Amino acid sequence: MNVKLNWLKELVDLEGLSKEDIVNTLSLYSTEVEGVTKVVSGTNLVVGEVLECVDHPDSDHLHICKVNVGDEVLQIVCGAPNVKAGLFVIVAMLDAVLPGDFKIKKSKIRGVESFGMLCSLKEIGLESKYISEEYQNGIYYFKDKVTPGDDALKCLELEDEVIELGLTPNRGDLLSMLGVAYEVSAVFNRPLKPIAFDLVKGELEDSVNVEIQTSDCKVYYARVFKDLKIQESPRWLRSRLISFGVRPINNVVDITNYILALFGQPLHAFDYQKLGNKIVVRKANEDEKITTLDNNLRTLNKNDIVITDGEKPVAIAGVMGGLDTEITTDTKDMVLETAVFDSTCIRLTSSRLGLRSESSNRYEKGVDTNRCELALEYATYLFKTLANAKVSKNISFKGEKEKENKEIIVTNEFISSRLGIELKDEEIIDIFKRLNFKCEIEGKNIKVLVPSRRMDITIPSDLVEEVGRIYGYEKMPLTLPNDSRSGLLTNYQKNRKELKHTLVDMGLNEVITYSLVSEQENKTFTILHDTESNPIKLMHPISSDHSEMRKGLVPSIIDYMKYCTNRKIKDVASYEIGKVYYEKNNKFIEEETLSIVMSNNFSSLLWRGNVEKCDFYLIKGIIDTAFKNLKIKFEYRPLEKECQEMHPLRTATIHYNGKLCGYVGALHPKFAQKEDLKDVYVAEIKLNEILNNELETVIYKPISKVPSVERDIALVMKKNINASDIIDTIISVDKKLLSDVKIFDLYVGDKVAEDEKSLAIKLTFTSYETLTDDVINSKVNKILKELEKRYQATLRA
Amino acid sequence: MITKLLEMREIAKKKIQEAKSIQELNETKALYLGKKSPLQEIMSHMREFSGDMKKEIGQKVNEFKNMIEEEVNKRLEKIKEEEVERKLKSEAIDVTLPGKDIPLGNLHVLTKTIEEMEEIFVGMGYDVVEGPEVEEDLYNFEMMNLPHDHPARDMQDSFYINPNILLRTHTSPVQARTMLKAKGSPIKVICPGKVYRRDDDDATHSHQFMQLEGLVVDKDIKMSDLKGTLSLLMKKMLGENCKIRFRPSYFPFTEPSVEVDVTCFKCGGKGCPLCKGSGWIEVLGGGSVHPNVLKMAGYDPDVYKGFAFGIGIERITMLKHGIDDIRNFYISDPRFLKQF
Repeated sequence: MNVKLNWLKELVDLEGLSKEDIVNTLSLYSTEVEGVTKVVSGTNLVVGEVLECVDHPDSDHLHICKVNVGDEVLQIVCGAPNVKAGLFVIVAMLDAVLPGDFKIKKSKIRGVESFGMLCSLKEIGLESKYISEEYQNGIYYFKDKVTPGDDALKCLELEDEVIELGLTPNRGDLLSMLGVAYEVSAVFNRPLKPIAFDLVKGELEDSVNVEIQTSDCKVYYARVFKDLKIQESPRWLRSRLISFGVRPINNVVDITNYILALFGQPLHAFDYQKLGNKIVVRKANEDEKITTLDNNLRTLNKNDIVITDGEKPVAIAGVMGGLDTEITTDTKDMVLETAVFDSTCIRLTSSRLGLRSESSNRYEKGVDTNRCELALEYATYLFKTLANAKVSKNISFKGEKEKENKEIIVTNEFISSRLGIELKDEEIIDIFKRLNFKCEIEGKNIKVLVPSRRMDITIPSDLVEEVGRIYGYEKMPLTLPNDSRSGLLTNYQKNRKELKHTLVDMGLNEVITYSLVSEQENKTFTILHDTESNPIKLMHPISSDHSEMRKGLVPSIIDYMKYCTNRKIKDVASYEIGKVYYEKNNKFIEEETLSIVMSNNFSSLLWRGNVEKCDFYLIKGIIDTAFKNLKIKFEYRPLEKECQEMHPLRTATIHYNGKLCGYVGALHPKFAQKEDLKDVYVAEIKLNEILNNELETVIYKPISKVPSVERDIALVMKKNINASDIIDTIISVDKKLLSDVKIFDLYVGDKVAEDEKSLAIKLTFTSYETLTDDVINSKVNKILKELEKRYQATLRA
Repeated sequence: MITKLLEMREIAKKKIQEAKSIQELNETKALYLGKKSPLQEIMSHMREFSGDMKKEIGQKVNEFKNMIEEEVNKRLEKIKEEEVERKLKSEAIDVTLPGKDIPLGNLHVLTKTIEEMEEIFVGMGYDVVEGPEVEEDLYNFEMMNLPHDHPARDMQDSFYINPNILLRTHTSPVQARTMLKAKGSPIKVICPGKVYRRDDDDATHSHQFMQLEGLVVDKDIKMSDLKGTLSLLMKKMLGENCKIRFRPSYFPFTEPSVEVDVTCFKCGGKGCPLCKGSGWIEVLGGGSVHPNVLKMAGYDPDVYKGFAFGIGIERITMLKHGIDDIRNFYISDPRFLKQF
């Protein structure tokens, strides 16, 4: 809402308050102020009289003018086609600043000195949509009597400032100057100034027969005006409309817009001759048609409210008039509608038809039925004085009677205890008085009568807000909830945090990517996808790249990898913890998941020449180590399911408690090549069921006083035997003394058969008593026997 | 004989001092004290001397022996020291060469902001609650006092999955879920998480972003508790000099509703381009829980009161670090994330 400052000052006493006071206080006590602008931004503009105008000798379009600017006569070169002697014009004096920081300086134009500039309205800062046809090309000239040397903006009534209020959707009452005046009066505790005018009694006998057939039309007033003299509006009216943001057209249209700006009441004018004297307001029939003012044929439905002449629609109520009954320059007689319609109906209609206007906007937010009559009477006064209209004696009216003020009962305790401010009764009463809410005290109760203009106030809490803000939130003390609660992260949250930090400590960077992916991405890396699950698709995606909720995290982190590769960032070690989403059996499921991507060098030792390259065992080691803190141990199995994006023989599925929960491995070379990636390893692990475990309290075991004993064994076995099976077997043989089993070397080559490999394993035995060689040897032999029995693994010669 | 010993003594001393290595020293020692040494020869002739003489020679021989031992030990220490010295010299390194590159990763800056806030709130007795992102219209809108025909729904253009399911547009539905679960008992929670709006991505808009919701419900909760809580939060996050202020606003799920500004951290409140000269920056919204919201979730609004607030994680992170493009967070360029 744009509020012209001088207009506001006509409605409420703001004597002695600076613009800064008004802006800052409104922000803190009322509503956001988005900015303060000048109606036009040019400075140092005066009225000048063109005394003489001759053609420039060296130009075919320039003129040399002698201009009287009050106390001197200036020579000014002007290129406007419409300049001539005798005109009173706008002169930008030397040192004037025009929009775009254009400073006027003494200059020589084709050899002729010029001491200023004659201006068009556009040049002084008026948007061209506000400029009438006549002044679109060329300089402005005054038609009324002005004196050279006077302030030109003052004469144009454009010397003013406009406060732009950013309104919240509940404050429809601030969509009018009068509403703003009420608000400002409360905030500053200043009296309102009454809107004074002469009530027009009317002389015509004409009247319109109004009938309302829908409860979505609350009230409907109609009055007949004849012999309108359609002409340009006076300057004060045009300048107010420009400040408000509406283009002045002619007096009839301008008056309806002026009433809208002043009272927030939309008016609609029909050509009386074309409409006739019958109005029926009803819901539209399904597929009923009307051609609207903008010459578009509109198809209506049962929700729309229409104004009809008893047969066909002549306007879509509150949204747009019909072409057939439009006011034209030939119109002499009109019917003026002042009505209120249901806000939801209007909102649905205007948004369906894509017709948003100042009127529909007000109807959507709610128009005060109690203000209709005043608006109509004031409009009548303006039509009489500005358009010489003859007015009907009768005002046709249908609808609800004047609305009663809403009665809301509150107590001081109710308000004070909610705000946390100890208020006195008188303070509360004073605030309601400032807001122009009548109130009565009945014992402890304060009965507040909320005027109909404040449709946002319906419950006692709304009054708490009114009291709080007008009293001033800045005076509210700082307190804390008076309780003794303790807060704690859940096990899951603690474990997830621990996991994130451990991964970071091990050199991985966290990334966050978008949850919405393309349909194509959701069809890749499907190892963990439930075959009965469906992707969650958006009804109306913005783009195909973000049309479905992701079923896996790896496609996103591959995207990230590609982003890095394209920017020559080769060494990547990153992870993301985020949700995956899918629909199964009509349920929407979200599962938190970890994804890891690694590529090229994990760490480089720079000047020492050696580097740690990423490989399968590095990413696997990172996973195992990260989950070690959480006492989680995974089982890895060779990939069985086919996955086009993963290397079939360098990928493992990850299992926890026997259940598939993830996978890790190298990209399939074909996929990698297609995506222009090299040496990329990824992993994905679902966390939902893993991170819930509560870490058991550790019970201390005394440390053995005797040192552990280590034995290294080298075993030869067939290549296809899994190392994990060998380790599991070793552990199964002895659970008492064997404290650690580690594979420290893998050999494949000349010294073993082609289908064989050799594993070097370190066995660590720990006991509280000294371990003799005999005991160890018998354990080792037992292990070797078992390995031979199960896997034909033998000691390497 | 004694003269011979004295003579030998000077020569031995000199020889020991000239020994260059432990081996040479041992050889010298053996030369004078070993089995074939002149001393042994003297000793073998001891029987030939008379009592006094014998005694005197014996004394001198012992003196000689002791002297050799002492000199050898002295020399040995010296040689060892020299050896250490040599070794040290050979081990000289350039201590200004860089250390080995131990990999260390980095949390995403948004995670850092969330963890910082979580720590502050957990310290104040809040639990951390999370909720679904694919949410029912019921929780996202209706139970937040935004019925189907509410005009404020226009404020949030949303991603719908079907007419009843959408991607949550704010973390507020977790409020409704938490209240229903708490079944009328007091609540003190924060709810961080991802939210989605149907916006085109640009420098200041993102179709996906994060919020942190706060909700406290109890019998004696006041608006001033919200002010105190947020003041504490901002002081801890942005510095002790940071002040906050409330401005009236509107949200369907709170009444009264406020926008919360903090003193501009760039200029400290004097006014600068960041705060558009006002000295204040808007950081979040909040208010007292709307009675309808309490009622729908099973709380008697005459008995229970509450406050709620919602903070944009990206917004506060951008303001704190001077980040000018929200898309940076989701591109996750390592050169961006490594800065924090």
